[in-house]
Amino acid sequence: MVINSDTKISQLLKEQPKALEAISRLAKPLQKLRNPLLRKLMASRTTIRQAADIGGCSVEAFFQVLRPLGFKTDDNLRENIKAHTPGPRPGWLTTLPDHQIQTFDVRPMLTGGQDPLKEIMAAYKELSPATALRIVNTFVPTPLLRLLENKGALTYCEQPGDRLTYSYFFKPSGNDVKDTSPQLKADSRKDLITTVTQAQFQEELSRFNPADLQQADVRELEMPGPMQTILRYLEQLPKGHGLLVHHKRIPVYLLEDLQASGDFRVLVLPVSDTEVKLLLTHNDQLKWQK
Amino acid sequence: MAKINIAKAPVNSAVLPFYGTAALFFILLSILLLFQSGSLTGGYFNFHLLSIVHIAVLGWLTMIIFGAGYQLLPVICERNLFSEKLAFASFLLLLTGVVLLAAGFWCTPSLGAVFPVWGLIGGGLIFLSSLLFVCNVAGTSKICDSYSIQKNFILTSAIWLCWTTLAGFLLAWNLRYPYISKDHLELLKLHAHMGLAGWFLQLIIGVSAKLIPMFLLGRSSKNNLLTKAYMLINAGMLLFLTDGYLNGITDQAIIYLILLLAGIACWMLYLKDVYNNRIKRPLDITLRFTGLSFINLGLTIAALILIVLWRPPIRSQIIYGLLAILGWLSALALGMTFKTLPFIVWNGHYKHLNGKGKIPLPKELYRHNLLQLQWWLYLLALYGLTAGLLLQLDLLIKVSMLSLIGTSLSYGLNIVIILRHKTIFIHATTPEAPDR
Repeated sequence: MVINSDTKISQLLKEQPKALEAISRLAKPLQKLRNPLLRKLMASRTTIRQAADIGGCSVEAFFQVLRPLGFKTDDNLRENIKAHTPGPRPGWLTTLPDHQIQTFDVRPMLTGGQDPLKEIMAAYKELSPATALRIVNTFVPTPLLRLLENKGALTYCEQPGDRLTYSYFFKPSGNDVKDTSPQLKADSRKDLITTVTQAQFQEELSRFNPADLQQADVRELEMPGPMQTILRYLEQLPKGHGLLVHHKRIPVYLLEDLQASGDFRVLVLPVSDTEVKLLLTHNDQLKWQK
Repeated sequence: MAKINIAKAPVNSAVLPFYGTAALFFILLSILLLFQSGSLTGGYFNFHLLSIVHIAVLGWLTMIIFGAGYQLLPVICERNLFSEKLAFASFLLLLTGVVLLAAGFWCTPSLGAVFPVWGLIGGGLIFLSSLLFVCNVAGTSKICDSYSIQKNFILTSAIWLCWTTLAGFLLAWNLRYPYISKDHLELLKLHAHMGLAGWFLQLIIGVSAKLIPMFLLGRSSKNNLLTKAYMLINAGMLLFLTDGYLNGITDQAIIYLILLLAGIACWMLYLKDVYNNRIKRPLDITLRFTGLSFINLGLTIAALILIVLWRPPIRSQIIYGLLAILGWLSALALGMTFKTLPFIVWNGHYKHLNGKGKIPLPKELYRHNLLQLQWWLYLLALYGLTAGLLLQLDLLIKVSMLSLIGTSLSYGLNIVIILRHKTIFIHATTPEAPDR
């Protein structure tokens, strides 16, 4: 079996049960996989890359223990393995004085085998507006970033050292929060679908490795062809990948479907009367963390 | 082949008045039925009942079909509506016509059983309105590069509507100035079935063959089934009408009925193929109404077969009409409204929006709990009424009528909520330095 950083843990275990022992020995957080219940929950939703983030080890480390078990690695995708490179610090962070940043080191909890999610959420809740929370841990906590972004936080991640990550969560002041009405806040599913400007759309697109971005042009298809095509793409879309759709209108019936399922996040960029771009990504990275 | 393009959708004023007015007529219909429940247990030739039936088929059903048709045709044909002015004119004519005609029937008993001239004028206006509809349908679909059987069904059904309203006008003339030597009641049956099988059935086949694949995400390549359905139904109708006009309705009607049923069977096979080739998704409540409509069509056909074969008492003909109009046709309208109207209104509000923010989806434009309520009230109303009439239980009939009023009010309220929708667009915060 040829594997790459996007191969799911469940696929590894299915192919070669011995992989379980090999992976769980890599890092302490990965020992959770030995628990059949957690394994069932996590394995099908986690790729090697995500597991490496969680375990705080490199994707290459996974490959090293998996190759002796008969797995072959896909060299074309090596470039994907490069470390997380953050952009420059955003304005809200550079102008924020140090005393307005509260630090919470979760590494002791992680090594103790505890899930710090509850404590982090509580700390964010306690935070006074216009200040920020700094979470210190060993990997980029992507699900947590998304979770708090949904709650209105501005986020930023940086890695000042090996196996050391600072994640910043800025809580906007009251004036900023008013922009989202309480009705829309109440239902987080409504946050799944957002219209964006050209610049924001481009920025989101640039976060993807070209190899991780699939494209579908459905402008020439007859109804219901576009929706069928998009749903087929989504069925096979690996976690962490994005689907860029070129459409001639906002596909509202599709959006209704996706919103009801809650499985995908959608960014909508209306270009003109006859052209709309959509960026679709998985939303379920949160599920196993909770 | 046809593509869907909302850029070509007509202005809302050519569409929305139809939906609002149809809802009002539906409410009026349910209230009138409550006060006239006695006329349901009598014969079908009763002026109050004629009034109610015309409010139902013209004010409620034809009204909503005109509105949906003006919206859908440009979308299916990828071109602008032939004329938005004609569309609005057909609305005014139909509205005035239905009011005059229905009031004319209603008042006839109190005018010494003479049908008033203004009622007759109402009939004429409805005929004109249906002519305008045909013009718009023909004009819009003419330049359609794609030949499609769906379009044929819709255009043919519109032509049948014209024949139906013309026949109705001539019959109304006969009420005022008797000139037809044939049995008025027999001709009335021909008029009714031109409307049911010529207009409603063929329109529904045409529209459903386009929309059901869209909503179910299914596909069928068996277009020849639709062509067969088209030929069988129209052949059956033409033979039925010619023979019925010349010789009265005889036992031969069974042959024409078989032709018609064979046509319906072809359409069903087509839909079954679509259903089998669909992408599986949960069916929402609007599609549940559609499913119910098909069940009611089956019951209607069963009632029709019973009537033709056994000629049971007059009450059964009322039940047949009830199942057809309040069952089959109304269930479809009650559900499809919430697939089409929110989409139309949504386009008016959100198609041109730009910038970062959250937009509501069409299904968030109406209240789902109200639609749930409408579903249960409607089930109670329709089947309670059918059972009440069959078993002659007056209390059940009254309760069902009240439930029908509840159905129409919850429907109407949802329509008002959709039509009064205000643009909600929440600009999210940009990830820049916030003010501190």
